[in-house]
Amino acid sequence: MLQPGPLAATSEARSDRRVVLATVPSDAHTWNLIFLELLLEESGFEVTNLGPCTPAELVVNAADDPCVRAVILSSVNGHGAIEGQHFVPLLHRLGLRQPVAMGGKLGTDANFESARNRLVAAGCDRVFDPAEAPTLLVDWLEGFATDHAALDFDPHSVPA
Amino acid sequence: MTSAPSCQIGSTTAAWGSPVAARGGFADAVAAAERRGELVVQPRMGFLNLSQMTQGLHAVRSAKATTAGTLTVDSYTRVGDMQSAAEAIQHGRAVNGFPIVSHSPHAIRTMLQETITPAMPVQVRHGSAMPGPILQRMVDLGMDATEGGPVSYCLPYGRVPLTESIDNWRAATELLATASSPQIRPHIETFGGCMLGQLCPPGLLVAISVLEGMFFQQHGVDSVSLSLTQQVNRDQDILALQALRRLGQQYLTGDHWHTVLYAYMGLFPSTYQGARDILADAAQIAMRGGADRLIVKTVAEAHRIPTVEENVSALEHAHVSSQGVAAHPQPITNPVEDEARTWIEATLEHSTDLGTALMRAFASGVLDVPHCLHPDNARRARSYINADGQLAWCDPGKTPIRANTETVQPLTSWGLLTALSTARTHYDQIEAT
Repeated sequence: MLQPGPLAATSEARSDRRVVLATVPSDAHTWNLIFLELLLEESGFEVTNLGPCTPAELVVNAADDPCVRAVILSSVNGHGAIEGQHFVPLLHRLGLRQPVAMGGKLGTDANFESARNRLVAAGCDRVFDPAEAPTLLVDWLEGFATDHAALDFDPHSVPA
Repeated sequence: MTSAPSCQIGSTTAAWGSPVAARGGFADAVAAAERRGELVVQPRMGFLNLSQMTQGLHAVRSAKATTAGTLTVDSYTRVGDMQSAAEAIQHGRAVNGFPIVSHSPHAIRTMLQETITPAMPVQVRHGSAMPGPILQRMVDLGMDATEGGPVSYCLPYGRVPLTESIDNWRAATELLATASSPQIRPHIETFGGCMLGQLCPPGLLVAISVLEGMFFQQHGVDSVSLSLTQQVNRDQDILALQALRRLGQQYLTGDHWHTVLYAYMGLFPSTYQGARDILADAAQIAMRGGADRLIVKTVAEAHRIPTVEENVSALEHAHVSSQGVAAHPQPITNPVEDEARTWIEATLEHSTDLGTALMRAFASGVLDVPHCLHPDNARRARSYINADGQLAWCDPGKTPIRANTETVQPLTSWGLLTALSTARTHYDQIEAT
């Protein structure tokens, strides 16, 4: 894995600060996943980056851990909105319990609102607009913080 | 996932008549252009319909340039989903390439017999870690040239295990070699000069490209081309092409090989002039570095799949930009060549079988592609763009390359975005001023 950035939280504060990072099975892009891994590490999260074309079983197995706070699905090939409608319910059927967020280029810009609505209906807890700052993802993850984890985090330290 | 069942030797070749590549061989056309001092320019181009594909090949042939034609295969066929490819043809659904396995072979033959000439051969470009069915179809048609590689068509894309990709490519290469005849010289271009498209220091790209070329020769395809992608620094790109030629001379057998440059494969300039300028630079880098062929990019690259007209315009612009540009003499010392040779030698120590050597070199972290998330990549090595604007190693991981002596800050998310955008920012700004 990539080394944690300078802001990485230490010791016991990390105990529930793990995030599973993945994409939909048809998406072979990786630079978006590498960027998010760095961003989340700089914000004090531990990242399990599952890489491109992620199968549902792999996501659910990686999230089967009390340290995992949430699952982030990033997709930029334009099929994310369509594929996510089947993929997110499949994750839940396979036993995923943590919150799921999706973001990236999920469809064409014009139909983002309908893409968001369909993905929320399919069980996505949060869908990020491509225009939203990536730091909002960090804010969303911090929303699940337990008391001890929140103490180490300063959102204004994130380079953006 | 394995392509073995479609790689059975002893296909129905005889039923298809004479091989289409007999009308114009790929390697022969490039060699003839090289003797005339001309750069062969080639697009990436693939359409669902035969009529559109035929029209595209005719347009490339008519371009005012020395060209090679391309059949770029669609994504369904690349991943072996032939049913979806067939349905796309049936229902006229938009796909991003030519479904070479799902169209009628007789119709494809007719198209290629109409378009291939000695001056314009046609190559199949696909990007599949499971190339068996595509290469079987090439053999059935009597086509001679394709591209790929056991490492380069595997690690950057998806999750096919490296060992499976090596097995697939071994079988596929041996299959294509069976097409060899007095009329046909099978040819494979390595894609190893492009791992992830950007931010890989060129010494590693050169090494992987040469190792893949050796792999193809070991499995019976002696005519190969070694690729390299344009990156962020002209001087470094020229040194890398020169290193590729020198190491090709050292490690490949025979004379049937050449080098090919890809116009920038990363985040592309978004302005018209920025896109034209980076392509013109690519053509000049190709000539200065002694490459015989250039794969172009168009002004549409940052926005969408290009039209035929945009591709023809790019081919002609690259041709004009290449004219009158002479090759630089080989330098006395070349740091890219030294680095690449270190990797090649360290890899060859693992086994005399190239596939085994590549597998073990990745398993031990001797080969380690920076920023590549594939499960079989060590992910210890880290690269960056240094103060001179060249790609360099901030951490070579367990590879045999010496650590950088500069003090390098760890890569941040912001630093990554800046590095990925370097070429786009540079070429788009030239236009803005």
